[in-house]
Amino acid sequence: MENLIGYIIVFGIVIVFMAIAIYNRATEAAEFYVAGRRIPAFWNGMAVAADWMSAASFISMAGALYALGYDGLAYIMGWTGGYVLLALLIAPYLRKFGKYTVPDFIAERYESNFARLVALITAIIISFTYMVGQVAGVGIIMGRLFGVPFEVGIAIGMIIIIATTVLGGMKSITWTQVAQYIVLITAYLLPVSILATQWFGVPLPQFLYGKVLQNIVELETQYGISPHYVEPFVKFNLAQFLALTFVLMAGTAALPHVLMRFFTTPSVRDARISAGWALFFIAILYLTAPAYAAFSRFVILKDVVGKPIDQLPAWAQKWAETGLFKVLDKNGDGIIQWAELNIHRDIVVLATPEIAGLAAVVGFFVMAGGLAAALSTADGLLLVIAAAVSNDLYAKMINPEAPEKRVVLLGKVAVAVAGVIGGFIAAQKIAFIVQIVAWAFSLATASFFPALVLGVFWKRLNRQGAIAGLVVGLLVTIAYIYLNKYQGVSLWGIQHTASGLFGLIANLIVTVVVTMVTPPPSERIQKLVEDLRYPKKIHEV
Amino acid sequence: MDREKLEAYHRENVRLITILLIIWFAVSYVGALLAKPLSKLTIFGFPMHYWVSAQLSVITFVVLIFVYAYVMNKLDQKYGVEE
Repeated sequence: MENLIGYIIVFGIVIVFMAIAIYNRATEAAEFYVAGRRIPAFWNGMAVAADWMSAASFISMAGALYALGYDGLAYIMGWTGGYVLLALLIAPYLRKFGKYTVPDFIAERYESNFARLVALITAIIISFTYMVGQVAGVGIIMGRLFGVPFEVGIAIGMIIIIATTVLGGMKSITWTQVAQYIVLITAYLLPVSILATQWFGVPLPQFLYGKVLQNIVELETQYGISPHYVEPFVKFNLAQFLALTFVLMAGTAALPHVLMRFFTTPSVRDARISAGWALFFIAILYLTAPAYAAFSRFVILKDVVGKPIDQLPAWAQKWAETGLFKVLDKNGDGIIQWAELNIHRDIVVLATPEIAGLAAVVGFFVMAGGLAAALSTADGLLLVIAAAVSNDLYAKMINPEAPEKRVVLLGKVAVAVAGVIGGFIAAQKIAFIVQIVAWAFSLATASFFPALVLGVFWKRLNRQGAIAGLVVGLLVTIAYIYLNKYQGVSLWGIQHTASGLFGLIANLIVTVVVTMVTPPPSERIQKLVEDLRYPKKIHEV
Repeated sequence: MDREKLEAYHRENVRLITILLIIWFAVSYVGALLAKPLSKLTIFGFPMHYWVSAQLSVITFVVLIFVYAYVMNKLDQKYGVEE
């Protein structure tokens, strides 16, 4: 009976998503790529938040914080602080530029279709691998929800994702993402808020876990666990912590699927405000994740560690059956030690409803939230791929005379093809894909970030400098990834996940040197750059 | 349009961005650099270094973006460059 109610909730939510998509069908290019530029700032902010927060943010991030302690906060600061860079240095100017995509801007600013090609290939690689990660997330959640095989879960997820995006492109995914945000944030806040109410009488876990952190330190001291949970720079050294934070920030500011959403607001003014709303909605989840991590850590120290192995709490017994919670009594004394626990990251969020003693229905609702997070991110990524193929590659490079209807149709075909290929690749469970997702931020930091920011703020920057910088930045990043990951080379302990820092430095040096020894860009481009800086039209370009 | 006025608008924009990014840098990177000494202190029940990186920084980021939007939207009107 409980399960039946759970299935009805999940099906009901998916049907609402589909109904919204069907209601918002579109066939015109402006509707398909940028939702007719009619999305109000508040709702665009909410859609950005859903677009941004992936299956990993929802299910795994709290678990990563649980495992990394203070050092995991590099992810919290990186994935939120990037929006400051985006809001101050990029989004309003891209909105003023108009058009549809990030490669559109790169190509026009640097008067080069070669730059467009580099930009669209980078955008496709980043978006496609990131999307495969989301699709795999859908497969896992479907498996846990309905007990269907991984591949079947992926197939169902792929159909929902493709249908949402094909129907109306940006127009249909925007309003679906708004609904998906509401589902995912409610599902995320519900269990942990109830747990906070049980413990402290106030449903605000975000502001109450400080005391829990202190309790954790006390218990860890009692059990002789060292270094402590809140001890800084244990898993990362200081250089890696700072470098990773920066790369996550700059990468976030320059990821094409997030930036594309800022083309949809009615004005520059709305784009600025929209970025604020986006981070507001994202911050609600990112302020809550450390509370999840602290609560789990505390419960495990209090109710599991130091207890006899045959007296596991009920929730731990249940998750032990799934293999996500493992206890191995290595020294055979019948008592559980901290070092004898092996806990899967995802359990931190997924087990909280049971830790709080909530009905199984809440567990289903949390899964539905994870599903919404994966679907909404995959939609946005799929649209970037479709726009790169149909708008940038076909309409702007191969056949500039192509009628609009055909371009949009090609976009829809690209959605279906990329979606199906993504599904097949996700089904192969290739570990390398997960790796590339971690590198996406480095690649964006070393390529798009300087090309966009300098493109707006440095008028003298020309085609030669930008392209040379872009290519060198990408090559240095890839080289450092290879040297660090496969050859063990490292500068100041900085790891491959933050390789974009070196790519960015190389990019900046090459960009400046090459620009200074080559002639300034044309009069038209200088006027275009000036025009970007003012919401009102200043020059005809 | 008046060239000097346009340049003044851009200068004010760059100045505002610089100020806000200094705050952005302070709460995230300076906060992390001071993590060891701050960990001795407590605020709102939190070890202070953890609170700075997990909450002060994130909340400050949200405020910075809204401040930027508010001031720029005013500035647009002052210089007559709004859409």
